[in-house]
Amino acid sequence: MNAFDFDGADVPFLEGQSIGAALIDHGVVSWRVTRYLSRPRGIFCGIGVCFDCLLKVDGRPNVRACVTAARPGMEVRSQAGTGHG
Amino acid sequence: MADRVYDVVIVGGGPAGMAAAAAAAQNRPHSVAVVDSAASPGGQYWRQPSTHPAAGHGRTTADPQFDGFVQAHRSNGVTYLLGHQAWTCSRVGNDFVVHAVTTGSGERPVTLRSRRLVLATGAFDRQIPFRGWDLPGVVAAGGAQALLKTSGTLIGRRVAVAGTGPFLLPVATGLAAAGATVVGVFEHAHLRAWTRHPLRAARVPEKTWEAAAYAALFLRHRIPYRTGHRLVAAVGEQRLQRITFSRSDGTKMRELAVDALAVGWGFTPLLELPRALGCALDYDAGGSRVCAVDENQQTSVAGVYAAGEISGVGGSRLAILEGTLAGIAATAGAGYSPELRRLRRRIDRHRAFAAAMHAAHPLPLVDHWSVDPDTVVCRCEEVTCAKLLDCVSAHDVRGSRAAKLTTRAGLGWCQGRVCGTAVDRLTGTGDDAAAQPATPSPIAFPPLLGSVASPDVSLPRNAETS
Repeated sequence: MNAFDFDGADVPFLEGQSIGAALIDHGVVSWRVTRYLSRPRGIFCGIGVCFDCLLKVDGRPNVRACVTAARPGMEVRSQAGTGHG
Repeated sequence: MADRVYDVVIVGGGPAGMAAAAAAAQNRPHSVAVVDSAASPGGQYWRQPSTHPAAGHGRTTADPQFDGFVQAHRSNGVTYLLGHQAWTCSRVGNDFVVHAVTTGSGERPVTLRSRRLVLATGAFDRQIPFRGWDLPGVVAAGGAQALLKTSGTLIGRRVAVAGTGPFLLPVATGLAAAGATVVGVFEHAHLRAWTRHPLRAARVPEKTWEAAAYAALFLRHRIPYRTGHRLVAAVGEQRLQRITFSRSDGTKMRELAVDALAVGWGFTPLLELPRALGCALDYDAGGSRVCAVDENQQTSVAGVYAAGEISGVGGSRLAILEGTLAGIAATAGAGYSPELRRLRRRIDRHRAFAAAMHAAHPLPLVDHWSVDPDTVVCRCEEVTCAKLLDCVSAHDVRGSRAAKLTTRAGLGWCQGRVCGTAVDRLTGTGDDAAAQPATPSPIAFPPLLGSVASPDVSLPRNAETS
């Protein structure tokens, strides 16, 4: 089965699944910590509108997990704050 | 710049957009293109399951109507630009230009030029804040359904569904059919309001059948449907663990263990593109800001049409009718043929039904919201309820625009799409905002700066024709 790397762990996914869906199937519900109040966030709107589910993909921050298709071997990282620095 | 000029470009490939494309392309030799951010057509309503058969939930085609549109588009040469996120629109001479970027790996700018523009950008779940609504595990009702439809992903094993409106029904039955235990649907409305407008409902008989079908599914999956109930709080450490709910008058407070909650209060449209073009706005019967249209679905900007949820939230059947009318009007112009008259009559009937639905499922008044002073209202900028109310009382800030400048509510990534309804109501502008002229809106999606500045803005060489 295809898998991507999430914070050092292998997360399997089905072809066509979004990163967010694969993470939820894997039991992960949050992957971002907010900038000011340090609250955990994961998927909320699920359709690319709310930007709550941001994470880093292959070094690029602020990628929406809910609308970004999972690809084999991609490096997915949870994101703190703005994701820069 | 774009070298080709289409006769009609349609933004949004959901029911309204697909219907518009089918109607416009029928009027050959018009050239028609559909732009959509998703990898496949259908929008949120006809969301396509992922290609992998193991994703389950078995359907390969969503609906014969969907298949019919796909066939019609293929035989009439409709160009599809899938995986293209439109981020703004502009006017160039008598034409319109849609600025998009490709989604997926690597963002590439793409522009499309057209004589006429049909905006069918759809809607998303309307939300009002409540205690704990930003805990992971609390998901928009439409998001829960989207995860299920595209990926076969369940948001949880023990799930509650809450808010108001008929959309909560398919969400609950969908989750139950996929194996979740749905501990209850907490519908804020009492639903007595339906009995006040029975005739309006009866004029759209398929809706009555739908309701009966859901009632049967609720029985089969043993889902408690609790009308006149309100969600009080989502509770948990780091993630949702339980919900508290009560009757809508606050009595009979109870608690239930859950690992997920799907919540929605009807829908509210994506209006960035019509606002960017200066289209006049209005409020629909449900109190959502929408794009104002005439009897041909034309907006206040000549040549720009709006169809589906963005011209009034009313569901997929209404969206298809409006899209068809917009597609005809954008190509043939619209006269008074018997066919068009019938189409407009059907649209009127469905709008009347939508109005009855909105009346039966109102948003609760602010005084009845389950919020604390420290409940986050703007999730992006983390602006609390107390901060917003303090602005109103101490600094006499009125309206979402003033609140945005004072508190940053609505200034974040989502540009106020999620908190807009709540901020409007908390800062007390409510209905008079419709009277204000539409201000040019921020962009519909934040592209990379490089995509905006790139001089190499051209049509894709291999735009897929399906």
